[in-house]
Amino acid sequence: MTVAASDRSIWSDRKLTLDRLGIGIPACVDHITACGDRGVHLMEMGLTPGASVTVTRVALFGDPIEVVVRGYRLSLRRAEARLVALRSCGEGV
Amino acid sequence: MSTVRGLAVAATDTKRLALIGNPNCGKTTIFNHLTGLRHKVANYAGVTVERREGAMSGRPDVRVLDLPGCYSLTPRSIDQRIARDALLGWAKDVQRPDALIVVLDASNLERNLFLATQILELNLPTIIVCNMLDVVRSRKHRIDLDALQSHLGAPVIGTVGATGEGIDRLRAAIDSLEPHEPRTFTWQGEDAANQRVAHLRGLIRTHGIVDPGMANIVASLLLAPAVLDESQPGFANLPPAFSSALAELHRADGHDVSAISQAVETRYRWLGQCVEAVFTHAETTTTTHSDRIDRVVTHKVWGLVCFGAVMLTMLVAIFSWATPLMDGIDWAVGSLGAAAASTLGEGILADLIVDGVVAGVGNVVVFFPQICILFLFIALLEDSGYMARVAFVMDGLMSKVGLHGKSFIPLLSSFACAVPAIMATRTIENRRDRFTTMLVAPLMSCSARLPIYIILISALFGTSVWEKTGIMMSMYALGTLAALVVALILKRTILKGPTPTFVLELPPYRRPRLGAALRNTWDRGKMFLTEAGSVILAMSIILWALAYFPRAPESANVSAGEQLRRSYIGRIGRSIEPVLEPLGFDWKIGVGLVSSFAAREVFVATMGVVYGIEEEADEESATLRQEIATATWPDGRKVFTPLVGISLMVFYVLACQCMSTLAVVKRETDSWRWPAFMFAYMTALAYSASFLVYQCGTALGLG
Ligand SMILES: Nc1nc2c(ncn2[C@@H]2O[C@H](COP(=O)(O)OP(=O)(O)OP(=O)(O)O)[C@@H](O)[C@H]2O)c(=O)[nH]1
Ligand SMILES: [Mg+2]
Repeated sequence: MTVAASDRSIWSDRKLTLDRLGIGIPACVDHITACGDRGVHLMEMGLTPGASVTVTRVALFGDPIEVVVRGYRLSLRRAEARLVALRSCGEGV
Repeated sequence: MSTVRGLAVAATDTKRLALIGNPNCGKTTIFNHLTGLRHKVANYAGVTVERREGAMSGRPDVRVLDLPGCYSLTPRSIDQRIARDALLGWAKDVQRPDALIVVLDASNLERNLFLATQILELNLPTIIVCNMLDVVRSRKHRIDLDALQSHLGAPVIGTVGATGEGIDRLRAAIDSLEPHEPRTFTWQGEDAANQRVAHLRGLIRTHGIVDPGMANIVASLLLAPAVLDESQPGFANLPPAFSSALAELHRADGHDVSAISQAVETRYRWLGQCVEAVFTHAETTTTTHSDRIDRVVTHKVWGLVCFGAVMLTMLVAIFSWATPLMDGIDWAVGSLGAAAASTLGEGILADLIVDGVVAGVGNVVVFFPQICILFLFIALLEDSGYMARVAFVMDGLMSKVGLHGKSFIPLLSSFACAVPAIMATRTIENRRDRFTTMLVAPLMSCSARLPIYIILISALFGTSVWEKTGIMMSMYALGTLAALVVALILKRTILKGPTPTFVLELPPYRRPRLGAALRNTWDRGKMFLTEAGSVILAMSIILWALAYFPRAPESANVSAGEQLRRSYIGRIGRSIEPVLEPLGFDWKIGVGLVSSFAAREVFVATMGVVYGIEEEADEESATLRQEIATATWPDGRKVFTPLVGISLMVFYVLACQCMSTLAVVKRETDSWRWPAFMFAYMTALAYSASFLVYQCGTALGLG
C-alpha cells in the first residue's frame, strides 16, 4: 500500500515509513527503527534524522525503490526502506 | 640521493601516498593521471577491488596507492576492508601510508564529506581533492573551495579527472606536503564519545593497535557491530588479547548501536552546516538528462526491453560488423599457409608450420575482430553508468533467486571474462551471496566461447544474420538461465542464508570516453593475441605432434585420414569416443573438448590442426568453416549436423574449461574445495545437458 500525494492525512499516521511513501512526495527522516548494523549502514548513506528524501522510482516487482537523499540517488529494497520512519519536513525534532 | 623539485630525499626513503574516497568518485582516474598507468576506470561503484600501487610520474620516490572506494571506515565488504586495512596499517604486507589524498565527488559533497571527515581524524598529512567540478558547473551550482579548505583545515584542490584540470596543482600540493607534521582535525560537533569509546581508546593505546593520533576515531569505529560480523574476519592481524577484549565489550553492550548512530547523526549535522556554507545550489533545478534517460531505462517494463535490446545489438554487431574483417584475416591466414607450404616444400618442418602453427593459431586469430567488438561494447556499457541500472532492473528477479541486484554486475562482466568478474564479487557484503555469485559467474558466456559459437553457427546454420544471432542469443540466454537456476539451488542448499540487504548507488550517466574504451579494448585484444601466441601456439604444436606421430612408413601408402586415426591423438580420441558418442560427438570433437580444458579457444585450434593434417595433399585447401560443414563419419554420415552443433555449443556454455577461473576461485575462497566443486558441478551439468539435447533431438528426428 502506497500513500498518495492527495491523501492529506498522511502525516497523521505517525508510523509512515519510507517503503510506503508515494513517488515524488517530499518527506524527512524521523528516525531509523533498526537496531544493529543495518540501521547504521542506512544512516551512513545519509538517511539520518532530518534528511529530506523523495521516492523517485519503483522497479518491476515493486522492489527495489529508488530515492533521492542528500542530492544523490540511492536504490534500496522495501525491507530496508521499512526501517526508515518519516515525518513531514515542516515539523521540528 | 635523488634530488627532485627541491625536496631532497634518499632513494630508499620513499613516500607512500594513498588515494581514498567514496566509490565512483574518480580515485582511479586521479591515480592514472598521477602515475601514467592505465587501471580500469568505469562509471559504477566498486570498479577497483584491490590495492594498486604505482610510482608517481616524475617523482620515483613517491609511491601512490589506489584503493577500493568505501562509504565509511566501517567496512561492509571485502573490498572496503582492504581499503580500511591499508589506511590503518593493518594489512599484512604493506606499511601504513605516510600521507593521504581524499578524493571527493563535488557533485555529491555531503555524503562524500562523511568519509572525508572520518579520514581527517586519522591525523595523517592529508590533501583533499574536490573532483568532478565540471559536473557542478554544468548544473550551475557553485562551490567555494577556499571556504571548504578552512572548514576542513587541510589543503583543498579542485580537479576535473575527465580532462586533467587541476592535476598540476595536485602535484604541487604533493610536493609541498609536510611529511613530519601531522595536523589535528577537530570538527565542531558535539562530542559523541562516551565511556565505552574512552575505554576502547585506552585498550587501543595499551595494545598499540594504531598510532596514538588515530586512537580516537578508531575507537569509535571499532564499536560498530559490523566489525564483529562473521563474514568480516578483519582481526586476524590484531593481537588476540585485544580482539578478545573487544569482543567482551561488544557482548557487554548487547550490540547497542545508539552511540554509533548518534555519532553518525552528529557528524551529518555538522556536515550539513559545512555544505551550506560552501555550496550554493542553482536557483532552478532542471531535470538532468540522467532523469530523462532513466524514465525509460529503469522503467518497469521498458527497462527489461532495453536490456534485451542492448544484448541483441551487441550480438548482431559481432556477427555483421566483424564479418568483412574476419573474412580478410581468414584469407590472410590461408595465403600465409599456402605461401609457407610452397616455400618450405615437403617435409616435416613444412607440415609443422602449415598444419600445426598456421592452422592452429591462425584459426584462432581470425576471431580477433569479434573479441574486440565484444570488449568495446562492454567497456562502453560500463563507462556509461548502465551497469548500476541493470542491477536495479534485475534486482526483482535476483531477489527471487536469493541474491541481490549487485550480484548482476559481476555476472554481466562475465560476458567479457569470468576472472575479473569473480574478483568483482568482493563488493558483495555477505559471504554466502558472494560465493554463490562466484560459483555461477563462469556459466555466463565469456569471450573465449565466442569463437566456438561463431565457427559452429556460421558453418552449420543458414546465412541470415538474424538466424545466426538468434541462435547465439539463445546460448547467452541459456548460460544466464543456468546461472540463475544454479544460484537458486545453491542458496536453498549449501549456501543457505537470508535474502541480503541491497543498498546501491545509481551514478549519473556520463558520456563514455571513446578513447579510453578503445584503449581498453586494445589492451584486452592484445591479451587475446598474446594468448594465441603462447598457450594456443604451444597447444597447437603439441596437438600437431600427437596427430602427426607415429608415422606409418612411406611404403605403406595409407591415406591421410587413416594416418590420423592411427596417430597418438587418434588413439586417445577413439578411447574416449564411447563416452562422447551419446552426445553426438566423434573422436575429433572429443579431442577438441579435452584439449579445451587448457583454454576454450584451443577447440578451434584443434579442429584446424586435425582437419589440416587429414586433408589430402592434392585437395584444394578449404577454410575451417567449410571443413566442419563437410566432415563425415567413416560411414559417410555428416559429423556436424545442426543438432550436433547445438549439443556441442550447449556443452561449451555449461562446462568449466578455464584454468584461470579455477585458480582465481581458489585464491578468493582460500580453499581448493570450492574450485573443485565448481569444476565438478559444471562438468556434470554440461554433460547431462548435451546428452539430453542430443538424445531428445534424435528421438524427435531432428538429427
Ligand atoms: N564528469 C566527470 N567524470 C569523471 C571525473 N573524474 C572521473 N570521472 C568519471 O567517473 C567515473 C568513475 O571514475 P573512477 O576513477 O573509476 O572512480 P573510482 O573512485 O576509482 O571508483 P571505484 O574504483 O569504483 O571506487 C568514470 O566514469 C570516470 O570517467 C570528472 O572530473 N568529471
Ligand atoms: Mg577505482
